[in-house]
Amino acid sequence: MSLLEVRDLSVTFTRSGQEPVRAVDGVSFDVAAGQSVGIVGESGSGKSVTSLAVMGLLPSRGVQVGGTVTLDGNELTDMDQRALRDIRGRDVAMIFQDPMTSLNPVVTNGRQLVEVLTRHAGLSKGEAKAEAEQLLRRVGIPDPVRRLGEYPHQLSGGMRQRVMIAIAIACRPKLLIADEPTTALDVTIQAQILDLLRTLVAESGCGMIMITHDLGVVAGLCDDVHVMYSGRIVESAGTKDLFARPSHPYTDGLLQSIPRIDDDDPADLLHTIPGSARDTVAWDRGCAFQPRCARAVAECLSGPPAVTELGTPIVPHPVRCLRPVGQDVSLHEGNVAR
Amino acid sequence: MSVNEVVAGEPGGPAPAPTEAAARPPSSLGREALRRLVRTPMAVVGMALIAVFVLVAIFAPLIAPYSPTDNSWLDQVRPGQYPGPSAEHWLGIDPLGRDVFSRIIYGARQSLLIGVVALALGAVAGIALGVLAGAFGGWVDTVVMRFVDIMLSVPGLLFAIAVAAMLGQSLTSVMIAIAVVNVPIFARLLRGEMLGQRGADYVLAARSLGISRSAIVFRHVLPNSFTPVIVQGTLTLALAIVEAAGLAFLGLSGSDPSAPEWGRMLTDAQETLTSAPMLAIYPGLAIVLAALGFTLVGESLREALDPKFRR
Amino acid sequence: MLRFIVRRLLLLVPILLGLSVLLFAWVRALPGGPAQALLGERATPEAVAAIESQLGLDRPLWEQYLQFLGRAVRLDFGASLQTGQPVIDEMVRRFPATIELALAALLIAVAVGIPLGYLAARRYGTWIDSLAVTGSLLGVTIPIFFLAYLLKYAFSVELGWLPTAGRADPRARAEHPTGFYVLDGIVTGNLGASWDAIQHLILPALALASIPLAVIVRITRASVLNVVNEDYVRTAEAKGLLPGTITRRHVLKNAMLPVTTVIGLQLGVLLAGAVLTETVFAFAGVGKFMADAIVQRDFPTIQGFILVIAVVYVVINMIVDLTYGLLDPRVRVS
Repeated sequence: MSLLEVRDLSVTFTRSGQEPVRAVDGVSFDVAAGQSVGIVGESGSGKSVTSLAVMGLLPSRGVQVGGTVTLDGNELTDMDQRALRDIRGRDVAMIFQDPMTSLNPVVTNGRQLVEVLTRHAGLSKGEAKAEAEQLLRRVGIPDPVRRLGEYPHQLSGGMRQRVMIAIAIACRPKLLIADEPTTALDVTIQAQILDLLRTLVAESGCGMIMITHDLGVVAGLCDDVHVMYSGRIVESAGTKDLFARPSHPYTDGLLQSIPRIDDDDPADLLHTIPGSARDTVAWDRGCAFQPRCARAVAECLSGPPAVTELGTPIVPHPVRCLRPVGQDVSLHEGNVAR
Repeated sequence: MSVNEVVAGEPGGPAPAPTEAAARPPSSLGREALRRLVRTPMAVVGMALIAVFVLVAIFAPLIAPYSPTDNSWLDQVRPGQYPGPSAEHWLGIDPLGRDVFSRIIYGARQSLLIGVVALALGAVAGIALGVLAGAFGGWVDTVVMRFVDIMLSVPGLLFAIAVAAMLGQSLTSVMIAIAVVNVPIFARLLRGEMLGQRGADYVLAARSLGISRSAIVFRHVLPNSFTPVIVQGTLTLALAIVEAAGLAFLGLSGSDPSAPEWGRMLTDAQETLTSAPMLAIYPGLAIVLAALGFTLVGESLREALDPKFRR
Repeated sequence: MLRFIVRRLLLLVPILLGLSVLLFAWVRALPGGPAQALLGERATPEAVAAIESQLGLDRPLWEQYLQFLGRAVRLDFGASLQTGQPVIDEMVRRFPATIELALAALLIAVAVGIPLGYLAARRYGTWIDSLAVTGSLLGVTIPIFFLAYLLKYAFSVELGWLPTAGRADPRARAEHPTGFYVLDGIVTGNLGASWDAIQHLILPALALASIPLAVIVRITRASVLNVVNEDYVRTAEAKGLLPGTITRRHVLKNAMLPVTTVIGLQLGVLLAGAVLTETVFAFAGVGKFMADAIVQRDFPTIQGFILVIAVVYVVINMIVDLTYGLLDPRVRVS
């Protein structure tokens, strides 16, 4: 049994007088202890909603959640908010995208760190303060005693994100969810933060979900990757496997759009995926990626595309596509030679 | 700073961020806002109230059964006893033997007149000052804004009282007094908007294309700054009506004591409050409903125009 | 911090100077000029001329202004035309009543407004929210003195629960060492007098509270709505903090920042509104005195009142600014 099991998760936003929007649809994946799992997709793909659903942080009004989320054998989707509050921050912790806005501006860094320790770890204020100092040291913040007494706006973006990470790991959670933790940071800082996360996960042996739109982040950090498009997972594989054998046209497009300097042909330098995530099709009518897909055929619009297993039972590599990249020898037409 | 401004001010902070301003396409915003407006019950009620108020004001002679100053029914009035509603006099007769309903109907004219003129005067002067400060900046800005600060250092109602007392008893002085209170509010609003817009991307773009400063100000910045002015204007109309009543209560109103004016009717009703409370209720209600109409529309308009509330 | 305070104090100087120029000009612009204003409309030309030379109105304007300024700084506004006593004495005597009333109104506005605004925001879109919003819109559109009538009629005339006018029962014997009647009762050990004073305060304070209450409800609601959608509140929830902690430490602490500013501004509105409320309830404060002064065209009083209220108002706002600096660490540093 894995640490986290997500089965057939769906999230629907309903608003009176408007069509319900299914933001997440039939998503299933596992995270084992000590494992890092990447969820990759562009904005609106449902990756952040997935993470909020795992945390039980979606608003209760206007949101319907289906499927199950099981952490360490406990089904979170069954729990009421009271029970969830005991788990959040202790067993599951989250790091958010923007450290500028994710820390309370009028409360000291120290207090924001201490409050999670006193809440979950049963420490007294004094003990928590000492622990907080240790935590800041661990996430690489120099002069922790001074920093604890300061307010978030007195820290740089990277330092603030380190404080966020310290808060997240404070109670030694079993699962860490990082939602685009480096997107809002400078490029040079990004690598440092990712390094820190890698080290912390390795040291603590917790599981991690890394939510990102950047395959580059996944490459150095994650064991498994799930690619989401329009609310569904369209391809899952081990990270190496995925980079070697991108099979969904969308994954392929994402990889192609990472610029390569070693390519000799300047025309090949930068690929783009035509259209935007708004040009979509409801999954029950066909493949949501169809309008942007160069490999699309008529069948792509006849019902939800079936999942093709391209891997083995031990090393699975499922793809939700009728015409996966590199598999089209048997198919009759289309721009086979890319 | 007076009540008007606090109520109208953006909750909790600075005017809309320049980035938002840059992102909004002006023409479609108006249409989109209007569409959302007619879907808001609050706005619809407000517009209905305004429509009734304006129509009554315009067609007062056709609606009112009698002249507002006709006191032919004085013989029906006894001290402490004022005839209540009847078939001839829907809202009864006042202590001076006049038809209350007719006076209420004609009072709409006076209120609308005060509101519109006070708004027009105050807004034009305030906008002129605000544009001056916002467009030129530098010492012009400093001087204008210091002046505005000084005006705002006296609570609005007191300011109006001082001006009205200075100008003497007349309708004009009431209108000017209320207008003056609104000058600093409009000036500050417009200046803030313009400063916000000055750094907006589209202004930088226009400037990089070599478009002259006045052209940028008048063709780009000003039109984009006007949405909050419209909101403030609607709210100002409401407050003008209420403030006029307050001034009337202190004896600062038109020079003709028999003229039908809601504020004065309400004031006069204080003397008969125990024996005939309805004489206070009618004009009071009229003031509240008229002011409420403009407030409802103004508030809905602001919500409709606020990008934060957009869905 | 000290430099911040000093800088703010220095900013007051040009504002107050500007205000004095404005008031000086105002007196000059009064119908018939200041001498006529002092003597009333039926003054003979000879009396006017005598007063004009006595007041130094024949001297150059700048000299007159300096003289005016010198007297204003010493709070010398001349004698009230109503009583013949110095305006400042009349005001000092009546100020406790108005302060008492304004504080009572502010207390109502804050004690009701903040919880109501908070509740409306947390129940956004429900009937509670609609009620709070509609109520607050009504609060700013209803003329204060009309509301005062309604309260007086309902609770004094019809129900007879509360006194109709005044600050205290005229038959009661009570000493007033401070002029704050509620406080006086406590100080002199006469709790009955305090209770009587409170009863006399309730209705005028309610009427006076209407605008600040409405404004505070709306600002609190808007501010809480803003804050609950902030990322740091989501962070707090992700930490599994208890709802009470989230509300106190993360929502309210931030949401109260704009509310503080508004509360300060409302004090000015309260002092001006007292002119209307005190008149309806025959409440013997500076507001009533000012209202009488307007009717009697007692210009020295009007002038003194406006200057004093303006000074109080700008000073309060400065204090609010300083408080804001204490509450928001971002302001403190810069």
